[in-house]
Amino acid sequence: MNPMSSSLRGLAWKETRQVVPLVIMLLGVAVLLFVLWSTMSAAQTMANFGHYIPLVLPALFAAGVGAILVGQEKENRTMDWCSSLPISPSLIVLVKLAVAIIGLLVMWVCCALIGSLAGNSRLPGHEAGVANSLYWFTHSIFILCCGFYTAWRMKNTFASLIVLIPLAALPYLATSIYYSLFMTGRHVSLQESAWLLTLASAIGIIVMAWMGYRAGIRDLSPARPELEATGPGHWLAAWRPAHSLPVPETPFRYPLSSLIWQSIHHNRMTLTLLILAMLSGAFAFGYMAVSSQSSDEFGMVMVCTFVAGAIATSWLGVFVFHGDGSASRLRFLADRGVSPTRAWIGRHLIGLSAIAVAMIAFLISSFLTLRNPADNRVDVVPSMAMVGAGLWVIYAVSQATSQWIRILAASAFIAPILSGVALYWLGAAAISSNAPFWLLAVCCLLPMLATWLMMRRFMDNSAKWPIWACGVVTTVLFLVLPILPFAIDVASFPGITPSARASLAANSKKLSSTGNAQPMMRASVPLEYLQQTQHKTDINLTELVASQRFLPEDYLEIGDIAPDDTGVLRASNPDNRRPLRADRYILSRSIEFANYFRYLVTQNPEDSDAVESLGKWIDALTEIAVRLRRSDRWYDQHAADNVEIWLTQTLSRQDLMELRSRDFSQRAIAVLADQAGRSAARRRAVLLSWRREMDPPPMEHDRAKDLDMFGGFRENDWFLWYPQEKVHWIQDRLLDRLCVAALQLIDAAENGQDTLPMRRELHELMDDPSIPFANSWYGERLQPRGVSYGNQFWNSPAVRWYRDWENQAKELASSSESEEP
Amino acid sequence: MFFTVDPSNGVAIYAQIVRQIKFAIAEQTLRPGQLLPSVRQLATQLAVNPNTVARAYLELQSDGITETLRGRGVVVCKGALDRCRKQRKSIIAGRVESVLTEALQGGLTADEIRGIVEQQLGSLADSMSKTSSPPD
Amino acid sequence: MTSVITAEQLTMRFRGCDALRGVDFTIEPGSVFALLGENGAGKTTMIRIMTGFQKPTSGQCTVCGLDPTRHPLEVRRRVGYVSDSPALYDWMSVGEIGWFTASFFPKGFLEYYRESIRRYEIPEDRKIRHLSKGQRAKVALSLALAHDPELLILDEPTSGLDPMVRRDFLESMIDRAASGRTVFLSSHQISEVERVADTIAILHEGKLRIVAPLNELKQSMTELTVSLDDPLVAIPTIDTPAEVMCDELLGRQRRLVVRDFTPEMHTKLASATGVTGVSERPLSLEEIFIACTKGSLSRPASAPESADETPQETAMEAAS
Repeated sequence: MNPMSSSLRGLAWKETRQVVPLVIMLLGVAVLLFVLWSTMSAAQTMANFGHYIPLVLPALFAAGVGAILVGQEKENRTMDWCSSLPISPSLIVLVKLAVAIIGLLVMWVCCALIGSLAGNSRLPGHEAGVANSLYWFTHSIFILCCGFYTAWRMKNTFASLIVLIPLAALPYLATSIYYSLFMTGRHVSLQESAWLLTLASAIGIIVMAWMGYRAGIRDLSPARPELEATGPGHWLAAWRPAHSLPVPETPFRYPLSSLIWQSIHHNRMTLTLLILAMLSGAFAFGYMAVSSQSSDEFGMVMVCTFVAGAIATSWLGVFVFHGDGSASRLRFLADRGVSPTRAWIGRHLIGLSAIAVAMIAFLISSFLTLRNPADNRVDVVPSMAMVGAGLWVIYAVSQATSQWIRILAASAFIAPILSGVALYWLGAAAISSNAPFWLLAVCCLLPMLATWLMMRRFMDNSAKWPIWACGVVTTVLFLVLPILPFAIDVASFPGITPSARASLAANSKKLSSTGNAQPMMRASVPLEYLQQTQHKTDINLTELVASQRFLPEDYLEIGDIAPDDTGVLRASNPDNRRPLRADRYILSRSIEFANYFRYLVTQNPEDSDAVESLGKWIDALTEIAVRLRRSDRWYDQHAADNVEIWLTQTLSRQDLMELRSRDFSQRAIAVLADQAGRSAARRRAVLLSWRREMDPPPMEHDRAKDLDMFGGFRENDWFLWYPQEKVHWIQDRLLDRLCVAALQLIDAAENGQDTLPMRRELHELMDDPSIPFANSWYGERLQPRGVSYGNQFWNSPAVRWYRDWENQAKELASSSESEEP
Repeated sequence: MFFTVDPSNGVAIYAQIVRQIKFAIAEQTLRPGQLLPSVRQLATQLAVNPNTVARAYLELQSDGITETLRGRGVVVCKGALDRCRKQRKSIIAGRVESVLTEALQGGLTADEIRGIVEQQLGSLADSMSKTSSPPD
Repeated sequence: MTSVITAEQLTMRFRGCDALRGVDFTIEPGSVFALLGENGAGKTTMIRIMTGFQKPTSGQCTVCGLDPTRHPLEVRRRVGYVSDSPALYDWMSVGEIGWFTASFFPKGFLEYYRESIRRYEIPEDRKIRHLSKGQRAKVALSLALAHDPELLILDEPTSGLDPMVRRDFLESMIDRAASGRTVFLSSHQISEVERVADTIAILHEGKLRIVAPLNELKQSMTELTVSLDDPLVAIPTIDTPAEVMCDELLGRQRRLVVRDFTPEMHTKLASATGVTGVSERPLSLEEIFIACTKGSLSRPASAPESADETPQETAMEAAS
């Protein structure tokens, strides 16, 4: 067997086995994020975060793989053992790099899979097309090479991760320098910048890969003897901090003091840096949250400081159980009989006091900013307690993560993400699910409780399974508890029985839709046309206005209906009477014009022109009403009601009695009197609207308009008194009940029974609970007398069914019959 | 056949091995014609350097106690018994000499030494006669 | 025959300390070479130079005829190296790590390794992190020996192991020596070293105090106990060719450890005025080592100061 290939195989197998835990952990995090994201229903969340989630996998992998493959081996000293074997260093370095890149490709494939599962497989900045995807891909490889370089160069894994962050931003830096040097004042398209960034990343890959390779070879070669220059005689030595202070005479009086001392002095530099970052982040947040300017450079600096502060808080939490707090080091305390609780408190005190100081920093900063009168104010200023709570959540979740995940590199990356998710989750629960405050407080305490409970096992470094199980349980509780009251509330919300639902479904299936495409009525107004062509001053406005006839054929285009020779709008093919979609504006204009002619007629009943015009309008409106009734949409029925109400009122007028014998009136009355037809149309509309909502047909281009409409009504205006998140879950049930009540109303009215109970039901469903029945639209008192154009009114279904006007309409029919000779 | 070596009792390890083999032959635990363990085996058994064992075997061979047979290994010579007994006597004589030197240097007179020797011989000879018979 | 290891004026300077100050030695094939020294004397540094992990500040070193800094891979192919508490991949099982290592060596590695593991009765499917310390050391030893190296380098391999495991290591060392291979051993278990070493080297403060075959060394070292009339009596100095390694005074007796002490010197000393008796005693290797490195067999390490003053002055101080 070729020795080269066998050693390749052995090395590749080893590196792959070492990379696998990272892959699994990242997949777990991605799955968790995906699950959370898919249960969040609000459209805003999808837009904001959805397309970042698939990016999590490759980005984290690229950043962490260097630390895992190189840093960990250095820490465990297995690198020493491995290099004592006859393997050439370049083979080791190259195999590690190759396995990492292959792993990255696998991650990209998984990311694409998850993206396609989510239905949102587009990366941020997807408008730039191919260049964008290429950019993200090359940038991830660049981060991977940087990660390797820092891991080979630096001894401390954590430091190598921190140094990685500015390195990873290099392509951006290069591109912005390039822009500011060569391209000031020019508009740069998104695509161009994507290509430029890709180019910068590609160059970066080559440079970093080469440097990483060199660093790796140098690390694995024989160590060079240190130069004389760094000996004790070197001038730098005078600047180095003196040796540690002499040990004081007496020990601390309280054991906790010793633990605090240990926490501080274990790694003074890191602790100082983290706390400084946290404080400046809190300070920056105080500025940001109070003044609303965030777009200038100062604002950007503030934002970056704030983000750095948040991450620093998270890393403070991570350090609780790593470093001196790791299980092996805590053994020192465990061997001496220190109680787990005391050790636990000792690890936490520094972080908690840092949080307290950060809260004060925030307070000072927001106070100082508020004193400056020049800044714009925001409406809501977060309180100190809120900032403290936010910091607490970040810290608590991070410290729990650090106890559960024992690899420092992975912990350092996953903890900020998990704390961010936790913050978001709690915030969302509070806002959209109305979670009670005490429940959120309990959730905040959960991670601390979990680590405290598991402290003894952690210190004894016994089996890891209980800690993992505890972690899973805590996560589940943390995710479930805030939404538990909400879930119970939603689950217990009354709907209709399954049998009722089944009958609804069955009934609706019997009906056939008259087709989706329903032509809109369009009103063309010459005056509006004039507005668009205003520059033509040769048109005489007065003549134009004077020439307006305000007749239906001038204003209405109703799909296939055209005015016939007599000017009456009729369908070209009476057998194929397509339904109409209501447009409130057009209807109101039409009724206004009809009113105008009605007024003319009532003023002067002898004006035959006016009468004819009125007749044309009555015909047009009758046709409109008939066509509206044929529609599947409930809203169109509502519009038809309004039209018919106008017609009823007009034809019932005493001063228009003579017109009742005219043919247009007769046609109208025939339509008006057909109660059975009305009821059938209503029933049909209710069932089909329900069916369409529950079982939407495949998307067509005009369906886009119907997304938030139930039968044409704007659902988003309904049920506004429920919390926003709740509506999404119970909407189906509410609509079921609405349909059932409406159908019952129709049935009762047909059978001559009292419609009051159904109307009460409808009132309960559709009206704000603060409005009593007497004051609601479904009651008796507030029926408008004529046509109503109010917003609220038009959005309330079944409001005018089977009211007095219908009886009036029937009377019209009977009286006209009786009038007929 | 069991041997022991004590690296720190002042006598070279190879000398200890030689002595023990000679005593073993003298006591007839090792008979003429018997195969001795190989260098490697003995070194592993005693946990000593094989060179040391090799040196011991070399000395035995030059003393004529053992000889190497091709294909078989190291065997005890026929006339080894007498030689070993003689050498045992001389070894014992050497040890007696060192005891006497120590006694004389310590200040005991020759008569006192003789008295001690008689006394010890007497008590020991009684117990020894009960346990073993002098070899022929 | 060409030497297996040579070192010429090896110097190694670290920040703040000189680990090696001009070390020379030569090791012949087929021998067991033991390097003794206190903790921090520079033994590990020297081994790291020999295995190509560290470049010396100055000086030359060859292992199996090759320069380890220039041809580290070749050297490692011919050498088996077991370090003190070796860091093996503890997520691999015993069999897996053998298979993994076998891919870098010629054919035959895996069978030899398996045979060795079977002899030590270690289950092949157990993960290394679940092995005891002794089993782990045996695995490391098997890995180092499976390619039949000319030279086996052991850096304190049995520290902290039970006597059974130490015996196993001893036996494999003896086995290698018996097959004509070379063993380089650095150890604190002086009693074991005493049994198994051919040549001894004692490293003290960066310099090799002694490099000699074990027998010669033991024969050349004597402990003299001189009984005196009076503590303040001066005894005749002991000159070259003999060398006084250490010297101490307690009451009326003076104890010296001398190298290459001749019988003439003995009589001369015994007949000196004020000397009531001189007795000699051969030394164990441990005592030789302590004498070479501390300068005193019983006194604690205030040796650097007392090297300047003679025992008479110390006695006068004690008396006053």
